[in-house]
Amino acid sequence: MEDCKLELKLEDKPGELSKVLDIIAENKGNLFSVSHIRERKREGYLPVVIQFQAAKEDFVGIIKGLEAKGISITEKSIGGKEEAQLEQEFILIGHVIDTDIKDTIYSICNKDVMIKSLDISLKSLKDPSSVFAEIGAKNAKALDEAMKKLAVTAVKKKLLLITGIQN
Amino acid sequence: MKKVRLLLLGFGVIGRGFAQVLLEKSEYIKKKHGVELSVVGVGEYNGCLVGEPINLKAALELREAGKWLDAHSQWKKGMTSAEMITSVKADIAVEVVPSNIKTGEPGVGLIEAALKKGLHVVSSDKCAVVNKFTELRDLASKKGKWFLYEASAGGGMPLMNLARECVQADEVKSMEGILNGTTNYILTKMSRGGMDLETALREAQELGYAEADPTYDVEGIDAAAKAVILANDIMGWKKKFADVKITGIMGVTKEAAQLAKKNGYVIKLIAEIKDDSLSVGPKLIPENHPLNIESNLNAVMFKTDIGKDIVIIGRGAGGRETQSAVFSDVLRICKDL
Repeated sequence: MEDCKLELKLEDKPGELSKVLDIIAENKGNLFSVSHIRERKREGYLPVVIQFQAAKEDFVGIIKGLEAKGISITEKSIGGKEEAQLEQEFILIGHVIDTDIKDTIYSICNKDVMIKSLDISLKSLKDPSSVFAEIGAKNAKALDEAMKKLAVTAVKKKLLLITGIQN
Repeated sequence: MKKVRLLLLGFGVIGRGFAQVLLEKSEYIKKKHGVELSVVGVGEYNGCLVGEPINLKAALELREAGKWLDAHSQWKKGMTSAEMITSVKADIAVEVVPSNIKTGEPGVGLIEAALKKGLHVVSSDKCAVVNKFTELRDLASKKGKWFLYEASAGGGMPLMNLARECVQADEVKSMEGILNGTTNYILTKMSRGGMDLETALREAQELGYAEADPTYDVEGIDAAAKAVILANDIMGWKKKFADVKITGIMGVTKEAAQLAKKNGYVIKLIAEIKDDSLSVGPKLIPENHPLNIESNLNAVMFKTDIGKDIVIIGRGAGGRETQSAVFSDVLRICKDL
């Protein structure tokens, strides 16, 4: 049995947590603790950290089970080995659509980096658009490289890139 | 009672604020610090007030009535501030003139003249300090005089004094924060009030938070100058204004501010002082982050090796609020006199 840890993004409504706990129980996981991070609640979603023990193959089953239910996993670790999903949010302002948004997105995506969400606001077709995006990366290096590429693309396409503050 | 003579170089918003606070707090300062502060000269662009002491109440009343200081009984027509520095015996020069961001003048010349005459100097003049930071510090050191400028970056917030006096064993690893109240007011209105930038800017101007020409604020120039001063003073760097990567807020749209809000963020104009580099630009800040402060407030987060995160929030500008920093510097020097 290995020590396992999951950070999930759950909808803040009755029954959501029990879905997760059922999957862990079905896969022979032995639950240690459940923590809700209420101060990080956003848009009705709440980060929840769950610690339990499970065999390696059962941990894989739990992950599959959660993904099958459409539950968002933001961090997972087994045996103390982090398989963290690093996230970075950013905003692009300008003619993001007209300057080929698909090209802008694809310029930073690869096997280690993917766009997790995209939110576009357009005042009118002729006005600049604003895009809020969240990217996920498997490691810090991949994330850093993606953000550097994005900064270059933004300059080239005359877009204003607003990123989060560095930690 | 220790008597300390001051020259007040400039009688604009900050200079008048100094005079007003001195009139209000002189008894408190005497009681708390054992110091009697006495202004013996006031420099303006077309003449000076000279006398021991200057009747500051009369000077303030003249300006409140919309009159120039030439109607004051102690007015010396045509005397330059440099001449006053040379001819009037004093201990500390309080330099509060508005200087040019590109040249640092006339502040640089006045600070140099005061230090050369053997006066200690307190300055609120970011343009002078940022332009000749190293030169002025070296001159003060050579003359064995204090040169303090807390009010030049962060207005009423104690930043450099905090680093100098309060975190003695800590190494400040980085700083980040909001160093311009005008842009913070505008971005707050765009996020919370759903205003577009032009409307928020107009409102800031009507409330007196923004100048008629807001270029220095909205283009990030004001915040960049302050970042250079903080980096050089607290981190011991030798940066120039040109070393700052600056992006203003003019490209930020109402839609972007609202998208950020929808996703749990706010957009703030943030100065970052980290890893030997300086930048000023709009950044996404989580809504629950300590730097998410509203209205025209300023805030700076220090990251240190021992105390970890230390956040100071306060008024970055204002004729009265800035005096908190000016008087702290003056009274620090008084301890050594």
